[in-house]
Amino acid sequence: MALALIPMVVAFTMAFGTPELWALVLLGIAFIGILGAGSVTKGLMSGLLGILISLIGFQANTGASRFTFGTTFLYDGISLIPFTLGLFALPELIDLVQRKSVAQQLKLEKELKQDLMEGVKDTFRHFWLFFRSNVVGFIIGVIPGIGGDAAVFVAYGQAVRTSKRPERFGTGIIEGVIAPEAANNAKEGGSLLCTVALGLPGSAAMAVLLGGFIAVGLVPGPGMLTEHLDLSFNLFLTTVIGNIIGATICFMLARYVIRIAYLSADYMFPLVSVFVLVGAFAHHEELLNIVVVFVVAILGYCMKKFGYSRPALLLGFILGYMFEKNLFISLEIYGAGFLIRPIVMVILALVLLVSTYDLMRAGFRRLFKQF
Amino acid sequence: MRSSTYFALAVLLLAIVTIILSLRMTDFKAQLLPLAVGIGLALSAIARIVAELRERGTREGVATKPGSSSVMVKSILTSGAWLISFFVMIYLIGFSLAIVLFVTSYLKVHHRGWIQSAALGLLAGGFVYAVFDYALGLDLHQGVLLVSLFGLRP
Repeated sequence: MALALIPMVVAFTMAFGTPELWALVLLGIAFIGILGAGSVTKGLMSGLLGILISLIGFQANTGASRFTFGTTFLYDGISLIPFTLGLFALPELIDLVQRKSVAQQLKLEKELKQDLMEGVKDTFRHFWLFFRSNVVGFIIGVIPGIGGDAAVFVAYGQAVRTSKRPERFGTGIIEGVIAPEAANNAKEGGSLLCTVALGLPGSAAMAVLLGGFIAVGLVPGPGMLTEHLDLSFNLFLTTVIGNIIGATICFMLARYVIRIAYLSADYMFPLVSVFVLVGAFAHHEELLNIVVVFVVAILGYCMKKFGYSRPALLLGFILGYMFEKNLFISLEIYGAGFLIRPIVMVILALVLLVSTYDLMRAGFRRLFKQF
Repeated sequence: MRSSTYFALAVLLLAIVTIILSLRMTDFKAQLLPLAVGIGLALSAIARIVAELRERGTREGVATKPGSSSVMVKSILTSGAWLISFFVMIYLIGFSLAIVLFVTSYLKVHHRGWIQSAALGLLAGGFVYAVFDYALGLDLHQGVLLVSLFGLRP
């Protein structure tokens, strides 16, 4: 897809300024209510809490410090890695101790093979969802500055929105796996295209790649698609081949890796705790990150226990900071007129559509019943 | 009141604190979003509390296993205590030693043999040291106790 869309994507990306980024972030925020899965108030509370936590630290446009209480550690805000580890890893680990192991009964070799094949078949059974999620992931990956993490949640949100059984999302339903994973893989292609064609890295990995380009004397930008077209194609093909090799290895190893699920919690708890705490520390080599993990873990556990949406909280956390920064930059550059830029208006219409989808669907149903 | 209502109340309290702190900010740009989010959070928390109080009557009849709640709380507190002890150990004696001690003691307490517990502890400690400290060049925390006793790098 990346190869075929190069000329179109370059034009599309060049048209994306701060106002368009702001509108896109708003679209991501509009998905928060959907991630609430079942309760709008719980979804809203989760998302708003996430946005609130993202506001800790220096405000990007004014430099004013907010909610830091004079602690220098909080000036840079809460980092994504310790936040995510605390929100998901520790609550699951504590839950695991109560359940003793992830899965209770070891499956037979034949059953495992059948399950693997079912997984492959499921992708084709939900091919339209798989395709849509790939497109969503690719588009969000192309847009510099939005961050690939949002792609996963937006793809998940659209999967919930279009599903015939949205109430089952969050219970391990296969559509809830296909959508974010397809978007997660597709965003890399989009991100690579943006890095090569415009010299704007869309993720940390692409920033490293950009550094590599510069180190060997290559200047990423539109010139890469004319002067070094062979190299650009080579990079995209490498990504494709890498994905195929990765999928093959995963397919071959799945039956062995799955045994981890049957490992007793007595082994899992200490070993996973070690990696969670070391992982949190490794980010900026800061011991206080471990404290962040513990504090967020308490919040994460309560949310899990009382049925609040942790993905909505994470989405709010990722997008909150970007929303505010892009809003004020847009206002400073364009004034309130940024709201009537064509792409912004199209995205705002999408925001309206996403937010009122349920109401509109109910309205249309009532209308059709009358006729 | 159910514990989920207490959680919603805690969120409401947080929202009120956010609104108060936002109002005290001097810069309009800095206070705008926290204030808006605080108000939104307070309103949604109030809506949640009202919904939970209304639901209360219908759910009161649902029976829970006697003693299951106290077992769960005990399990959570025990896991939390292990994790906090691990953090204290890291702070005092550094990552490498703390990992060995934590994994060994946890496994031993959970009825694993001494040899198996110590072997897994050493393996985990060695793996973290080899990958993070040696291979990736991460400056793992040495522990304040070891630094003050043996003058290791902080």
